[in-house]
Amino acid sequence: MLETEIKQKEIGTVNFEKSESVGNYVVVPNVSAIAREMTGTSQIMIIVKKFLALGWISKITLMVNNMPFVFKLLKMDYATGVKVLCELEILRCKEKSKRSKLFILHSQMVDMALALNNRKVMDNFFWLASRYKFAPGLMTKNLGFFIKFMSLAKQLPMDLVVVSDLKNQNMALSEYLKISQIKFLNICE
Amino acid sequence: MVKKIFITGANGFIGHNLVNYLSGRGYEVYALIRKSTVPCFDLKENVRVIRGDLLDKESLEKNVPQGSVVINLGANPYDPKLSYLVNVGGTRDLIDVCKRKRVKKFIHTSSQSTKIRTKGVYADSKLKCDDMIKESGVNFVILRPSLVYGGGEKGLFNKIKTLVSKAPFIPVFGDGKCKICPIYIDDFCRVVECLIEDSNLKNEVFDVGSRKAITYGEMYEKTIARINGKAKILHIPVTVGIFFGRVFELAKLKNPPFFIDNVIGSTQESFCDARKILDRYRIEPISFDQGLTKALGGNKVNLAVVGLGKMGLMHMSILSTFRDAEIVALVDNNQKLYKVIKSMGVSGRFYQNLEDALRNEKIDGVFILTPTLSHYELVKTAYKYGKSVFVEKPLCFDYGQLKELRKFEKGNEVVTNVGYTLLFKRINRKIRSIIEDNTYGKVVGFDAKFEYGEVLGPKKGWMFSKKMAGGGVLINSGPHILALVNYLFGKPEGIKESAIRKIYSTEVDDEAKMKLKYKNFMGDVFISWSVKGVNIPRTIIDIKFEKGQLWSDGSIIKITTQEKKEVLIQESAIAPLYQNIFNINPDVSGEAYGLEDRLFIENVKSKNLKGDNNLSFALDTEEIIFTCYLKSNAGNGN
Repeated sequence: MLETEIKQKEIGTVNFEKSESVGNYVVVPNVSAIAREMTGTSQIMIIVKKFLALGWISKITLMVNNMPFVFKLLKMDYATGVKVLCELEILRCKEKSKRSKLFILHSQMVDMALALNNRKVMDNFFWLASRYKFAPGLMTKNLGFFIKFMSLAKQLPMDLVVVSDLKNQNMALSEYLKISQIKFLNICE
Repeated sequence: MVKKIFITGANGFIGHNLVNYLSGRGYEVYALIRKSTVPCFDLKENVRVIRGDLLDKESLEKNVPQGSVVINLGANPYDPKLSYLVNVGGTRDLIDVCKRKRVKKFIHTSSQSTKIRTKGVYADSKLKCDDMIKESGVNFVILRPSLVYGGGEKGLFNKIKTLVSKAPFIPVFGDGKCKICPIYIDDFCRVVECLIEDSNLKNEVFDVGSRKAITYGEMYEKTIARINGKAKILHIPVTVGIFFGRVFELAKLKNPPFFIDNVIGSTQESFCDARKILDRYRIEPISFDQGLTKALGGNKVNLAVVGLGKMGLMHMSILSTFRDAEIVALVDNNQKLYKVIKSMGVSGRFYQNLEDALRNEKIDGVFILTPTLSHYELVKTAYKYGKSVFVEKPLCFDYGQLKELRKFEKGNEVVTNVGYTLLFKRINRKIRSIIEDNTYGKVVGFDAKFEYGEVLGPKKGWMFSKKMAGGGVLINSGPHILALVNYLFGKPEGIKESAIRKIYSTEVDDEAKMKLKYKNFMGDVFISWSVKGVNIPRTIIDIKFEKGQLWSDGSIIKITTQEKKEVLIQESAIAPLYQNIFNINPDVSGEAYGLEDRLFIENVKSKNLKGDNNLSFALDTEEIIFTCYLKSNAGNGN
C-alpha cells in the first residue's frame, strides 16, 4: 500500500561525533561517515570506537545480543558486520531519545544485497527490528529488482516499510504498489 | 485487438515464466497472485497484478476480463483438504465465473499423474477437476504436462537442482526406470501461445512433453554430471519413501523435501505421448541435454574479476545481476579481501594471480579493476590466453605502454573495452545524436569541464604518487572527459595548447587545461579535482553550433536556438538503451556503469570489436593525456 511521502531532508543519520538529535526517520548505517572514517582506520576499529562511545547499558545489550554472532564477526562476515554497525547506531539513537523511530537500512546495503542475492543482510535487519521493536524500513533505488527479490523471501515482516522513489515507475509497478501488503513510502527531494 | 489473458497461479514456476513470456509477446496479462505474496514476474506495462485466490470467488468475479482466455495454473500440491478445496472447488468457481464472462477458452493445467493407477491426493483431485471441466460446458483445453523445467529459484526442478548441488547422495524412489518426457519451460510457453491463438480448438485434452522420453535415473545422472559430478544416486524403496512422505505430512513442514505424491508419481508409468500437440503446432522441443544447459546457465559468459577493491565490488555487484554472465574467478593478491567478498555473496574461486585463474577456469572475459600501474601486464596476460578484457580507465600508465598496445589494434580478435563511464550516460548519448542529426548545423566550438573537490589539501595514497599513478588529475579523471569529447567530436587533429599545474599535491597535477584542434573548430577542456564546494564530479559540456548552443551539466540538456528559443531535455525523459539495468548508485552514474558492463557482455557474446569504448578509441583518447604530459614534461608522457 502507498503511504505518505517523506522528504530526503527529513531522513536523519546517527553521528557519533556530534550530539545532535535526529528526527523520526533514521537511515542506518551512516555510510558516508563510515567511508570518511575508513580512510584513517580499519573496519574493526570503527566498530570498537563506536562501541566505546556507547553507555554501559547499551554496551551490555550489544554484547548479549551479539554472543551468537561473535564467530561470524571474527570471520569478517559482511552481513554480520552490517548488522553490528546498524545495532551500534540504533542503540546510540535510543540513548538520545526514547521516541519510537523508523529505522531504515541504507540503500547501498539493500541494493548490494539485492545484486548479490545476500538475504542475510535483510534477515539480520529484520532480527534487529524484532529485538528493538521497530518497524523495519528498507531503502532501495532499484524498486523493480527489489520486488522480485522479495518475492522469493520465505517470510516478510508484517510491518515492513519500503522507502524508494515511487515516481517515474511504470504503470504495472505503480498499480502494484497500491495493492501490495508492503507499505511503500515515496522519497522526494 | 490485444488478447486479454487471465492466469491463476501466476507466481508459481510455470506461472511467472508464462506471464513474462506472454507479456513479452504483447498480450495483456492479468496475473492472479495470493494476497500474502510478492510478484516474481516482470511488472511490465501490459501486466496487471490481481490479488486474490482460487478460494476467493469475489476476486475472480471482479477481475476475470470479459471474453478473455483463462489459463488455470493455480493448484495445491499435497494438503489432503486444501487440494480438493483449491483444485476442485476453486476451479469450479473459476469455471462459473468464466461462463458468465463469456471466456473464449479455458486452458487448464492438469497432470500426467491423473493417468497412473495408484493416485495420491494431488492426482486424484486433478482427475476429479478434469472430469468436472469436461462436463462444464466451457470451451476447454486440458494439458497434462510431464516435468516442466527451467532455470530460476522456483519449481520442482529447482528442488532437484539444489539437492544435486548440495547433497552427497540423491534419493531416487524405486529403480528409477520410470519414464518422463521433460519439457523446457520456453517450449511449454510456446505450446500455450499456440493454444491461445488456435481458433479451431474445441474441448481437447493433450499430453505435453518432449518427444524423447528419459528415465528418472537418467535425468538425475545427467543433472549430477552437469552440476558437480560427485553426488551418488541412492535408490529408496517406494514404501520407505511413502513412510517419510507421511512423516513430513504429519510434521506439517511448509517446504518438505518431497511429497507422497512425488514418490508414487515417479514410480508408475504414465506413458506421456505429446506427439498430438507437437505435430499439430509443429513444435520441436529442445532435448533434455540442451534444456539442462539453458537451465543451469551453461551458455553464460564466464568472467574473472581482477582487483577486489571498491571498483571491483561495484562491478561484481552489477555483473551478479546479469542472468547471462557468471563470475567464476576472483583474483587479488590480498586473500583477506576474498573472505569478505565471499561473505557478501559473490561467487567464484579465489586466485592470487590471473595466469592461474586463466589456466584453471573456463573464462571468456576478464575485468581488470586494479590500480593503473598493473593494467598493462594484466591486459597482456589476458591477450596471451585469447581472452576479452574490460579495463577500468585509464588503460595505460605511460606512452610506452600505449605504443606497445597499438600493436594489438589490428589482428587481435578479442574484445577490449575501457570503462569510460560518461559514454554510457543517457544524456551524453543524446548529445551525440543531436550533433549527428545536424539539427542545429555544424559544431563551431566547445567547452568541456570535469571538476570536483576531492583534493583540497595535501593527500597521501597511491593516487598522489607519480610513480604509482603515473600522474594526477589528468591521468585519473582526464580519461572520463577526454573520452566523452572524443565520443562527441571524434579524434582531434592535435593539441594546440596545454597546461597542467599543482595546487595542493606535491608530486602530481591537480588541474589541467588544453585546447584541442579539429578540422573546422577548436575545443577547450578543463579538468580539476580541486574545486571547492563540488562534492560529486560534475561534467559541463557547452557546444556552439552554427544555429544554436547546447549546454549540459550531465542531468539536463539546454538548447538555445538562433531565435532565442529554449529547449530543455531532462535525463529521465531520455529512453534507456536497455531496460532493467541495475543502478548501483544513481548519485554517481550507476546506470552508466551498469550499461558499460552490459555492453561488454553483449560484445563478448557477439565478438563485437567495434564498441564505442574499444581498444583504438581508448588509445586515441589516452594519447591526448600523454601528449599533454610530454609537452609539460610532468607526468608519464615519456
